[in-house]
Amino acid sequence: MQFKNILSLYSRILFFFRVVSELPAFLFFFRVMVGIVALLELTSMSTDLDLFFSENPKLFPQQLFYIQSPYFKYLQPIYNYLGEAGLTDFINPGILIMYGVTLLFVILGLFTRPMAILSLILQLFIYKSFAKLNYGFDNFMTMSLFYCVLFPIGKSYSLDTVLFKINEKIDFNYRRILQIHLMIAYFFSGIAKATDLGWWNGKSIWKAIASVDNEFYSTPSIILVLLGISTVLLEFLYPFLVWFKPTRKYTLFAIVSMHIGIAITMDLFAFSAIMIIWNLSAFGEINLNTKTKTKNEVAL
Amino acid sequence: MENAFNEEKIALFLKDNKNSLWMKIKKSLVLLFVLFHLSLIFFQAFWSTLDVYWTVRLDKTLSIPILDLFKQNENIEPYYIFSGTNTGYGFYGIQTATEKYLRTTYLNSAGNVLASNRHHGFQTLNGRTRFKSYASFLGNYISDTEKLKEKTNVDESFKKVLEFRQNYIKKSFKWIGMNNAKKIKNCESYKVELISIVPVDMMEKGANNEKPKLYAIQEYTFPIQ
Repeated sequence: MQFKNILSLYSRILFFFRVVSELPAFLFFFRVMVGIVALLELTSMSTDLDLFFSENPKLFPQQLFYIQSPYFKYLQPIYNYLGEAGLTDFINPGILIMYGVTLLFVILGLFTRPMAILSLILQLFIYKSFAKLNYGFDNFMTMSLFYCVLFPIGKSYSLDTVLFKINEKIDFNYRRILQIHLMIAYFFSGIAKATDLGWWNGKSIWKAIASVDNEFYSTPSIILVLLGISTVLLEFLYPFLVWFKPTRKYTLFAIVSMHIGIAITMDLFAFSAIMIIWNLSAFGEINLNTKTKTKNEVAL
Repeated sequence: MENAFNEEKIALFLKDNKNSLWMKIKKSLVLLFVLFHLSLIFFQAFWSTLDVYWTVRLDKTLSIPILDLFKQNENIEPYYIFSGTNTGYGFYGIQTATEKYLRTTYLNSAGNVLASNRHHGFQTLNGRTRFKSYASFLGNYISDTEKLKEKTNVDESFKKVLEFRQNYIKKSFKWIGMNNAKKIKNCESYKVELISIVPVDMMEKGANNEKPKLYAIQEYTFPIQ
């Protein structure tokens, strides 16, 4: 009886992760957009990299950027080895080029999985080397590249499928992982905000957007209160609203608007871009005319 | 009715799902891994929310013996790092901080201001945003170090940690202005300040559109050697 129950639960979970018709389009969209955003972000700070990631950073020694981070114990032996082997002069510029090239391969879908693994390792090495200059975007990019390794992104609209005639069958709905991940992240973020009075009286929004570089500090209090409350409610209710089909479109619109707002008011363009990509990948209606058929194809 | 319909759909799905044994095993392994991964994400989000609440609101360190086992520890840390799961997602949560930045003022031998800057060579918006992250980190680090200083009855290792933290703060300030200071003619010393916006009281703010007030959390002046 117990075995039957376990089997039934297993079947239900398997059914939950059943393949849907949008899966190839999702994999293609996710792969290309993550690669493009990673490349754009890297190039958007290229002229500043010699300040904090080079053979001899101009701002201060590389070590000061990661000594106070949990990555110190992993990075220090690597840097010691590179120093002893006299490779630091070569590695720092070389590794950036390598990262860019692996991202290009991921976008094109050529040797996709090995290139995704390499880009994840390089991303961690590069960005954790200046861990104290990291912000939300960097962790989301690590997660995105990890998913590029986990998901069969090379099976959809890729050069791999053209050149190596790889089996295009996909028998697991990887999109569900992204959906659940997003729902957990927003839900707990909503709970955390709800416990802070500042999000209900507008103070936290003011703190987040007030800057010496813009005029957002003069936003009327009533707007700050409304923005604060709606942020708490939107994030807390996100899992329910986005899962329920009739409210999905409106929820997506609201959350994308929120991230566009964050980009404009706080200059966090890369962070907002990756969040919008995650939302659209997970819940957007991504349809491409395709002849690629997935195994056990079912409409969402 | 709805349940019966679902059962029917599951049965149909299982019937169609005739894979080879290897495919079935592979699928089960993928499913197990995915469940493990999602459980970790859930746990990390749950734990970090609870932990921050305990630390900020109750000023205590949270420890729940069973849950402590699943926390990021040296056995599972590599997975947390490679999957990017070791994160608070970069969303603001409890106790949002105001903007912080570092400003350097370059002085001549008479103490007159020769130049001042807060971008320290960063030219791109992305670079400047990242540099503000560093200022925020320093702000939190200084505040935590001040709290540690208040502790009494401490052992030698604690004193060493405290000394290390104070040295780190001072060295960071010193390095930040040094390279630029050397390039400025007649510059004899430079002052580095960590500046923060003073939070406003929302009850008093009303239609008050005054520019935000600033204050220096910490400052150091260094001679050019």
